[in-house]
Amino acid sequence: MLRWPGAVHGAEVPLPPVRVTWGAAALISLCYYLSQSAWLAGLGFWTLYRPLIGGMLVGIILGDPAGGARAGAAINLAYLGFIATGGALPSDISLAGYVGTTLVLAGGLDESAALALTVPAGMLGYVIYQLRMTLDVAFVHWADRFAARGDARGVVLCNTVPPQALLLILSAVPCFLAVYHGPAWLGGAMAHMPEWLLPGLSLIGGLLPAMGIAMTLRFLWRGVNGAYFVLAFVISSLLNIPALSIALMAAAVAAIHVRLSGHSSLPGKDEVAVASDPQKAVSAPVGAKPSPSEQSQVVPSLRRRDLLASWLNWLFFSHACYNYERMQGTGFAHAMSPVLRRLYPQRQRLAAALQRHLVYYNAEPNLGALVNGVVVALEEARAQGKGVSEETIQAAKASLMGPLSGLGDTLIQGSVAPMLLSLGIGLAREGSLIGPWLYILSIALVVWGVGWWAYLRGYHEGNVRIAVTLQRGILRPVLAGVEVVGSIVLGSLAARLVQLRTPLVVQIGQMTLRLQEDVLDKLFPQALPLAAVLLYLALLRRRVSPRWLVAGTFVLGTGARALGLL
Amino acid sequence: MRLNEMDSDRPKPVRFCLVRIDDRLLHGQVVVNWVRTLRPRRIAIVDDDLAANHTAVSVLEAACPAGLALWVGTVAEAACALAEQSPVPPADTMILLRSPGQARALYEAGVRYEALNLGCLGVEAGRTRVHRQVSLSPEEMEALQYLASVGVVVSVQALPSDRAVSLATLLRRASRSRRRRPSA
Repeated sequence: MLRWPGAVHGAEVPLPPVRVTWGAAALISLCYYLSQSAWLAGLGFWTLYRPLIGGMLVGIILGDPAGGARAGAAINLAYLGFIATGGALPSDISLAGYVGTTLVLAGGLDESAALALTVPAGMLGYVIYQLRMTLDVAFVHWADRFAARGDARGVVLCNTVPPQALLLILSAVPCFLAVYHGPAWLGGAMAHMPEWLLPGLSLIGGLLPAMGIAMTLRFLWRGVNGAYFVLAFVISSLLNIPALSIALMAAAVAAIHVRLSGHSSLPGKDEVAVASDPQKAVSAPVGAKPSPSEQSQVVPSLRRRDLLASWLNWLFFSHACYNYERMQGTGFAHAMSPVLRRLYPQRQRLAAALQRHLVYYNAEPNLGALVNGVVVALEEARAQGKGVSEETIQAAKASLMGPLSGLGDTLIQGSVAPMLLSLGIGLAREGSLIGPWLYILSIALVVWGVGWWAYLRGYHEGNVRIAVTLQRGILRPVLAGVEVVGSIVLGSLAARLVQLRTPLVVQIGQMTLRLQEDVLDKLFPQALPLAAVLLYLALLRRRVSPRWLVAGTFVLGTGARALGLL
Repeated sequence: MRLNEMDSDRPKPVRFCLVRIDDRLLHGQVVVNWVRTLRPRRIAIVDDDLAANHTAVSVLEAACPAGLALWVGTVAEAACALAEQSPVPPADTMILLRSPGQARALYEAGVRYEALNLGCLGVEAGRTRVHRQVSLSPEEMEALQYLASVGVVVSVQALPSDRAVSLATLLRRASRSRRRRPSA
């Protein structure tokens, strides 16, 4: 009944425009490895892991950057609702992006059809991830042995070299095989494919973006955000407003929204209230900075260099040896190592300190850097003999890691990243390479800015209650504003990128009524895309699992084409 | 207050929105994935130690998603607060616990939940890993087996989109790996 523009029929598939050479396949595999590696200053997961960026890189490698970014953007749109919390992944969107884009550029596959084939690639990536999380456990036990001897360098080594070498083998080899042999294999498979299957796949690929948008929208659908989404959708479907202009408008609307809804209290207002809280007075002394008079010459104290080194270690290596047994345990110990070496020159005390930070730890790394800051302050106070017990330190970590992860994931993975990605995708689909680069720049500012800021706030406060202060004074209004911007950018993106039209013709006596041209285009041209997004959203909110939605879309899509309804 | 296991007039189990054991409580999997999938109106955190720690409670309050009520209390208080007559019905209440011991205590205190979800339980001294992110001590294993024996459906499921793994499957795997590595 419905026609998806851009769908390519099996017979029309052009010959592969480029061949993936041995070297190109190796480079693509290296990018896939780097997307999960620890070498990109905490940005791998936020940049190279996203199909928008991965697609552009494949494009650069294969000689068509804009085409790669375009294909990557299409794939990323379907996976816009991707969110990895607490070490559990729904799928590996990174491998999906690298394999999918290669199939488009080198396999000559239609974007929508390639999108359908990213699903098995994502599942393969998930298997790789689980294997890595299981095998990394061995290196944790190596680190234990170094820690017991008070060897901080050994712990750092165990957190980096062996797990990263393992990851290189585990990720690059399957990726190489998929991108090197994939296009040729796909060509062979397509020759034997039933006529109806490939157009069916394109059809599914046309519907998946609507689902990706609905999955993201589910995270933003609160209060009047839905109204902002519909407003932006309608405006964008009637007027041709460039993505960047929409984003500016969204920021202005968000500012008004935050002010009017009373989220915005002057920053500091709540902080004052908390500061005068008797509760804090009771628990404050443990982390209080020493006054110059009590700072004895023999007692070690931290320098700014130590703080920066510790934060950088965390930024780079928090997930370097991510594993199912202690998650970021070795990452945390690695991050603490410059601080602990300064504070505990005696080997025995250093060993004890390293061991207490090798325990189970798992937190959202950016906003979660606040916990690192608090723990550094507590360790400093402990080393200076201020009566901070080991239990106090462990309790601070245990009570903060969960809540801070909840706040961090809601803010960054749930709102900021989808918002910036929507903008980047919109620009990339307009054919501009500014999209991916703007996304990289802005997400880098968020990841580094939030991380360093949270770390310093945690260190200077040195107290668990800083989390409460920040949430009330800053995070709550920021989150409300980001959600409004996200809803508007997403609404505009849906209007421009979800393409659904119906060729349905109704005969009423002598009159022939074309549903799309004669009715919908006169009332609301983009009615079907909006209906599709809202239908997916309604199903998701009725707790229909995304897996069933994908399966249903596959059956409906192939069925409709196979029956000749299109 | 020990429950008579063979009690024939045992009250019908109550269907809560979700009853989950997760030692990190309000972290991303809970506030992003579960809350936005199941959309409860209230989160109830039941833990004897935590309820006494005002600072920890205030941090949890800060981390609670906007628009959701948060209740933190002891097992003894929970029986009353989570009763079916309470302002927020069980179907809209998500219960979070930190350990299987507290889950058993809650059940024995009269909160007869129908199903129990195991999320993340980190490795600690005395615990062995039985599933990706779930580690249990022998006592905790026993508490879960007790709950299963009284009819609670116990399963491991990190995210709503994951497949649930039943306790029986888990125990079978755990005993198999123990046989393979007797020293562990």
